[in-house]
Formats: sequence, structure tokens, C-alpha cells
Amino acid sequence: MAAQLGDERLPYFRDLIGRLDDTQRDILTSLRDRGPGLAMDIAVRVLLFPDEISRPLRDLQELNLVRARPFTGAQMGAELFSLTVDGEQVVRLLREPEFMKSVAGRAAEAPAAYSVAPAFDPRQEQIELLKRRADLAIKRGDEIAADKFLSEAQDIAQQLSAAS
Amino acid sequence: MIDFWNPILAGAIGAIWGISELIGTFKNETGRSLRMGGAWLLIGVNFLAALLVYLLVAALVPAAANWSAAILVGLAWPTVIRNSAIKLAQPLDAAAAQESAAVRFEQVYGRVQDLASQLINNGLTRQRLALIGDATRVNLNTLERHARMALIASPLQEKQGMPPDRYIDRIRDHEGWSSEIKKAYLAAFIINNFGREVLRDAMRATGDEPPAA
Repeated sequence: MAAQLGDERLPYFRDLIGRLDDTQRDILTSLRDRGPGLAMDIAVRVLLFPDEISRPLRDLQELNLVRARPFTGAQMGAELFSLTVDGEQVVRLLREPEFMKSVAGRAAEAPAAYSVAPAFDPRQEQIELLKRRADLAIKRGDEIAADKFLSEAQDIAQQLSAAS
Repeated sequence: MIDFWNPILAGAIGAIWGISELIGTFKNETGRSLRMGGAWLLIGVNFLAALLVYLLVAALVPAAANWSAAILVGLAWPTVIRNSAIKLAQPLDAAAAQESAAVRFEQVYGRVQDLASQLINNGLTRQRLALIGDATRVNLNTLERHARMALIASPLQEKQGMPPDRYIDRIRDHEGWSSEIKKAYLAAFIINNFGREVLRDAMRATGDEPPAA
């Protein structure tokens, strides 16, 4: 439930979910509903073939929503895919109509925003990196460090909005 | 109640917590998951931990050596004790204190949960693969017919803009795939979307049903 998430992480998940396509959302939902599986298992759940889901699966791994673990003894895929903690949160949010309305609203605004925004600012990358470091700090129980990283990210975000 | 039973009572309540975690995680295959070694690892850890915590409490506070304390420890184990940490040192410097050595039960328990899940998931996947392997002995047309019948009985949602029966066509018509591979995919489609029993029905129809896993 959204209420269980810290408010500071909601914008992060809103952006993240907004970037996921239908195949990626189906993959995440199938992993939640039917449990971890090999590439073949996931493919038949989302009505695709393994070569068609390899790219979306890899992207989900890079986004830290899905993890792969070696699975010995399989001829049709040597990795067992499952959701990460963030992946579980994303599926929960995907099922919250109120939250998904806000994602849809943001997506509708996106074209206008893109037309006026600068193409790329390296500081955006820095903000993402700081958010990831804050996540890792929270995971190891270091709330002070997480707070520091989030403050830095907030400062950079303020600089960015002042510049635009 | 006899003293001997109090730690067992605390442990049993702890074990129930472990079972409830398994039911929550493997709700589709609870029965099978409970028969795996990983499940017994998780249940055993919950049982032993609650039992040991009760013994510790009873040794430190003799007045608490009764059945009500045993129930309390069993109930408190997941919510209070598992989420606590024992700090081994507390430096004066606040920044250093954050990095000081501590035993975090939550992290230790998280690793046990992770190991148990991995063992169970590997076991369930092996069982699934074994069943798919057995299903490749069934005639391709029989598997296709059962897949289509399962779709009629329990239609799947359209995905990627494609109706599910079109997906069965894609498997059947895939060029370059041997009949064995097509059968494996159809079997995987049935198991993953409709469950093992539907695949077993297809195998029963041809007398190829394997022994129950």
C-alpha cells in the first residue's frame, strides 16, 4: 500500500513506473502472482517467446526490479528470475488505481515537458545516483547516510529547477 | 502446564509464524512448498529462535517461567525480537556510532528467509521442469487441444494486443522448432497459466500421467 512507502520514494516510483512499458509491467505482475520462474515460464505467462522478453527482463534487472539467480539443471534457461523488494513495491503500486491515475496524469504532461526541457543535464544522472545510494544506505540500516544523500539530491534538484 | 512444555509452546507459536510467512509467499503452491527442505529450514529457525528466547527470558526472569510468558514470547518473536538489534559497541561520535558493529536480527533472519525461498523456488521449478519433460511424451495435438480447452474454461487476459489462442497458434506454427520444443512450450503454457492439474489431465487422457510430485 502506498501509505507504507516513505513519501520521499513515491516520486521515484512514479517516474520509474511511468517509464515501464506494458511487457515490463506484465512481467512484474506475473512474477508476483505466479512466483519466480525461468525465462520460458515468464514468456508463456505474458504470451511471448523467451527471445522477446530477454531485453525487457534485462532492463528490469538494471532497474533493480528483478533479480536473476543461477539455476542448475535447466535446459531452457539457466537463471531463475524473481522480484526484488523494489519490484514488489512497484507491483503493489501498479495495483493502486489512485496512484496509477497520478502516473497516467504525469505521462500526459510529459510531451509538453519534454518540448521545453533541455535535452540532458548530467545533474539528473547525479540525482538518480544519489537516490540509489540512499536506497542502499536504507537497506543497510544507515538512515543518517541515506538522509545525507537525499538532501544532496534535493539540493541538486533545486539547482536544476532554478536553472530551468 | 509442565515447565518442559513452555519452551515447546513458545517454539510452536514461532513455527506458526514461519508457516504463515510461507503461505503468504507461496500462496499458489503452499502444499508443495511445505514439503520442501527450505520450508522446514524456515519453520525450524522460527521454532528454535522462539524456544531459545523463551529459555533466555525464563532464566533471566524466573517469575516469567510460565505458559503465558511462553505465548507472549512466541507472539513477540517476529514483531519485537526479530526487528531488534544488539549493538556491540557505542562510540561517542554519532557518525562512527552508525557504523559500529551490531547484530541485526532482521538482517540475519532476512538471509535465512532468502535461503529458504531460494531452496523452495529451485525445488518447485525442478518439479515443473520434470512435469514438462514428462508431458513431451504426449501427442502434440492432445496438448494443443487441452491448452485450448483450458482457455475456454478459464480465459486469460489479452496481452501485447494478442488473444491467448493466437499465442497457441504461434507456438504450433513456429518454424524451426521441433515437435518436442513445441510440446514443451505448450506444457509450460498450461502449467504456468492453468496449473499442474490441467497438464496432468492431458497426460491422463493418453495414459502418460507421471507419479504425483
